[in-house]
Amino acid sequence: MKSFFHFFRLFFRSELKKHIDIIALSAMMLSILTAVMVSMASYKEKLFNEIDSKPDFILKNSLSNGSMVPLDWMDKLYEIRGVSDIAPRVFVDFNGFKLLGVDFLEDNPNQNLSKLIKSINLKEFLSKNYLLAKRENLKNSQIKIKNQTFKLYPLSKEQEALIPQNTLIFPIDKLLMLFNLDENFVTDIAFNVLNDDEWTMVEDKVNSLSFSSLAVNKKDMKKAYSQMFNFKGGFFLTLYLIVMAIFALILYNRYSQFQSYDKRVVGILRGVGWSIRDILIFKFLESALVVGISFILGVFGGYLILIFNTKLVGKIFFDDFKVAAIFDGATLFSILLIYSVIFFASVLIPVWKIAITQPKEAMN
Amino acid sequence: MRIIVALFIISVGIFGAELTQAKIKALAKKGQKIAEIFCKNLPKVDKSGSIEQIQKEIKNSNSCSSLSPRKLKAVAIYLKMGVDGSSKKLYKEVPKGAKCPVCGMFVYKYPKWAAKMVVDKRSYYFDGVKDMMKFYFFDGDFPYDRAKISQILVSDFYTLEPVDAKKAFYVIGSNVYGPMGNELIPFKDEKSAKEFLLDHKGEKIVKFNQITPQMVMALDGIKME
Repeated sequence: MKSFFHFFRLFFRSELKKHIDIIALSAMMLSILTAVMVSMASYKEKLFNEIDSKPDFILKNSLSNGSMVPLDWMDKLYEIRGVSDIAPRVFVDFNGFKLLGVDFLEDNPNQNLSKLIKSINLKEFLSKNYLLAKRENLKNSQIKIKNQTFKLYPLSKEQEALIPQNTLIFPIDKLLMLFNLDENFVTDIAFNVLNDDEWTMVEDKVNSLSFSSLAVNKKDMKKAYSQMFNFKGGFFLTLYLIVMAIFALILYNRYSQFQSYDKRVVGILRGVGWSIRDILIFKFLESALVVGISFILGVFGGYLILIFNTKLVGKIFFDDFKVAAIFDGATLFSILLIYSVIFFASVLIPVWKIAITQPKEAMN
Repeated sequence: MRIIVALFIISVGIFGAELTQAKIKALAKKGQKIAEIFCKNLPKVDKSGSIEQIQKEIKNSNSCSSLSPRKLKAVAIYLKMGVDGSSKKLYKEVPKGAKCPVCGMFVYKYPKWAAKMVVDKRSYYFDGVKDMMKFYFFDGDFPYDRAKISQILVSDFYTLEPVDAKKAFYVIGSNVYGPMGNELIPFKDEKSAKEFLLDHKGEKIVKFNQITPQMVMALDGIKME
C-alpha cells in the first residue's frame, strides 16, 4: 500500500504540467459558476427573509389601480376570527422616495417594523417632526416635504437594517395631513393570522367583505418570486450549458490523449501485473486530487469575485438590492456534483476501456 | 311574531357586542400607549359610565395634550375596560427536545397544536389534544398517576393562547387535521367553536368531561367496546 501511494505521488508529480493546465481551466470556470450561483442563492435568501418579516396578509381595494381602502374595512376585519395585528398603511411616492405612513400606536404586523417601533422612544418621536429612514438614503439629516421639515430620528445600524431602502417612515396621521388625503381612506391594511391552517378561510372571508376587497398573502408573494427566480434561472441554465460544452471539450481532450501517451502508461501498468481494479483506483485518486484542488480554488475564486464585486449579477435581479454572499452548501455541492461526475466519467471510462484490452494491444 | 322579532333583535345585539370584542381589546391597548405618551394625571373615571361620558371627563381634566377624536376614544376605552395582560403562547415554552410521550414526535415542530400536562411537577408536552387525551385516559399504559395532575393546557385554535383544558370547547370531525390526523380542535369559548364548526364542517362540540376514550380512539378509526 505504501509503495502504491509512493508511486502515485511520483507519477502525479511527473504529470504535474498536464494537471496544472486542467486545474487552471477548471478553477476559472468554477469560480465564475460559483460567483453566479452563490450570488443568486444570496439574493433569493435575502428576498425570502424579507418576505417572511412582512405581514401575513395585505388587504387591497381591487376596484382600479391605486384605489384607496376605506378604513371601515378595518372594523370588519376585527370581526373575523383569527385575525390579529391589524394596521392601516399609507404609501406616497415622493421624489424617488417611498413615503410610508404607519400607526406607531398599534401593534404592527410587519416583524421588522414592529421591532423598530418597540426600540425607539415613541414619546420623543411623536412629539416632534421626526421620520425613520436609512441615513445613507438622505443627503442631510432632514428633508423638506410640502413646506414642512422632517428630521431624521437617530438610529443605530441594527435599527437602520430593519428599514427598506429608499423608504421614509412617518406617523400615518402626519402623512395624511401633509398630502391632504382623506383620513377615512388608506392605501392598504396589513394584518396577521396566527394559525396558518386558517389562512384560506380568512382569505375567503376577507375577499367577501366587499366586491372589491382583495387579500394578498405572503405565501402567494413567495410563490410569485420563486417563479421569477425560475424564469431568471433560464439565464443560469445557459451558463450550465456552456459549462457542459467546456467539459465535453475536456473529455475529448483527455480521450485523445489516451490514444498515445496515457494509453501506453495503462498498458505498461497492466503489463507489470496491475489489475483493472488497481488501475481504476489509481486513476480515480489522480482525478479526485485534480477535482478537489480545482474545486477549492474555483470556490475561493468565486467568493473573491463576490467580495470585490458585490453587484456582479445584481442588475439581473434588482438594481438597489445590495446583498452579502452567503455560504450555500447545497449550491456548492451541486456544482461539485456536476463537475466531478463529468470529470470522473471523462477519465475513468477511457481508462477502463484500455485496461480491459490486452497490454500488448494497448501499448500498440 | 313579536316574540320572534324581539328574540332576533336581542340575538343581533349580543352577537354584535361579542364581535367588537377584538376591536375593543385593540383600542384599549392603543389607548394605554396614547395615555402613556400624551397624558399626565388622567382623572379617575366612573367605569359604569358610557364611553362618551369618559371622553368628556378626559377632555375637561386637560390631562392630555390635544388628542384627535379617535385617540380620545381609545383612551376612554382604556380607562373603562383596562388592558388584558397578553398570555405567553404555549408553544413558546415547549423545550426543543420535548417529545410527545404518546407518539414520540417532537412537539416544537407543531407549535399551533401544543398541549401540556403537569403531573407531579413534571411537564409533559403533546402535539395535539388527541394524544393528550390518550395519555389522560390510558394512564395504565403510561407511567403516571392521574390523581397528581395539577395543570392541563391546550392552545386555542385561533389565537394560540393557552387555555385551561377543562374549560375549553373541542370540535370533532372537522376538515382540519393535526400532525396525527383527525383531531379534537380546542377553543377558548363556545362562540369560536361554533364558528369553526360551521366553517370547517365539524360534527359536534364537546367539553373536556364529555370526551370519552371511545371518542378519542374513533378519531384514529379504532372502535372500542
